[in-house]
Amino acid sequence: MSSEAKEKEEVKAKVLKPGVGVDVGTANIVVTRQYEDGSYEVKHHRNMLFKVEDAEDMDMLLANALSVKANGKTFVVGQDALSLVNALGGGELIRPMKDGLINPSVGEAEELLFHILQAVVGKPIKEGEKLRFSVPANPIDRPEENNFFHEHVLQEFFKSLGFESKGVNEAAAIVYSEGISMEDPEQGTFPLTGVGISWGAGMANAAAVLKGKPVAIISNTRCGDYIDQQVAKVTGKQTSQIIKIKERQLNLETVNESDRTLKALSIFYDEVLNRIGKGLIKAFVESGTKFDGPIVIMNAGGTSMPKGFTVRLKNVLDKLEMPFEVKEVSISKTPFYAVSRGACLAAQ
Amino acid sequence: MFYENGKPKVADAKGESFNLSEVDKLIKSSNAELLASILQQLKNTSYSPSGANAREEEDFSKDTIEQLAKMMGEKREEGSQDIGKKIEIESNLEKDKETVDLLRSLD
Repeated sequence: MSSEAKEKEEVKAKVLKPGVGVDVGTANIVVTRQYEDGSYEVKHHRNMLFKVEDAEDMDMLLANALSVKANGKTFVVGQDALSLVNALGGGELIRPMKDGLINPSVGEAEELLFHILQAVVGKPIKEGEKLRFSVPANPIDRPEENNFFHEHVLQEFFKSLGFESKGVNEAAAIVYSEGISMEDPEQGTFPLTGVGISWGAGMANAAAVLKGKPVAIISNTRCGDYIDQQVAKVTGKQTSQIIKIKERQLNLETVNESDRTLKALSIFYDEVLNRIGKGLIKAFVESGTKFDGPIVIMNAGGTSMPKGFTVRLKNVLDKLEMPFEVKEVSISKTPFYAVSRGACLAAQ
Repeated sequence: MFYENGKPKVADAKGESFNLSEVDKLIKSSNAELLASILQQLKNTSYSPSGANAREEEDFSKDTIEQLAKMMGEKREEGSQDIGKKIEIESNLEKDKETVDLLRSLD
């Protein structure tokens, strides 16, 4: 390639395509944009804060920490909040979201969440740039709750930043991200067809998608946080310690039975996987849809990141009566970014 | 608004370094078990409150803060707060285009 052509390619690589995808998760916020050369820019941030009682006293500890001031209070934000709580050995993390939705028990939840979102998303690169943000399905374990308020508040917030915003089902976004398809023996390839499951902190979301359209969507609020809290209860450890162990030591294929914490994590993982498997089967059957070819079940999300996750899920699904043939249980190569990447493609 | 705090005061201004009373206040305000144990350990070994040993008090607080700052720094280096960092994700332009086209037709 000539130096001029190379230069042109480099310039092209730096140009962002309009369209931004945002995964607004209970534990993490992930923002994805795509460059003209096809590569992606990803930003992410822990969706949590730690209130500092006396900012002056904490100045030295706050050195290099990201913090935000709201209503006269100082909050350490994101990963630094978690690191500080771990370093201090105690303290309460504030979560602007709970179980996949804006946390009603935190008075300033909306404001704090918006501060974080504004910092991570930034401004539109053109007027009315499309933004698609993840929205969970209504939880099957809490029929009294629905996502309308959550979706409306976020849509208005992104609109106020200058985006043309709209929600996209977060599990369907995984199908978009991975571009999975179904081979029908008679009718050929069905693009964007299969099952996506997003294993987040506050919720697990599952969607059966046919040619890009979600035909059965469910969520369950028992997922990552639930596992952490239950394991903390039975082991007497702090939730922040459980998170650390889960992220660094857990292998769901070969669980160390002599380790009480790892064993408890394994037990509660089984419970969560079973609930989603059964819920998806019920919703799919009720939708009246049929898949005539074998289906890929694509997984993503922080709770799916322990080693051996797909093997464990396959074992659980094998014991259930699936209404379609499962070709493969797989995990996104980028499980942490798949939802926002799918939303980014939907925004273009 | 978001902001990044500057360098630790103890690093460049001895006169502004933490004194013991401030550290004690910090323990009370944060209810921090680990910090308390670190401070207690250091108190037992190096703290002398007056006169010629006043410098030790200054060093003591600096050590403490540096330890905690280091602990937080190690976490940061793991890259979990790389806001704005470009992360390489395998992409397939042609497949992405097909996805975008199909989704546009549904939008």
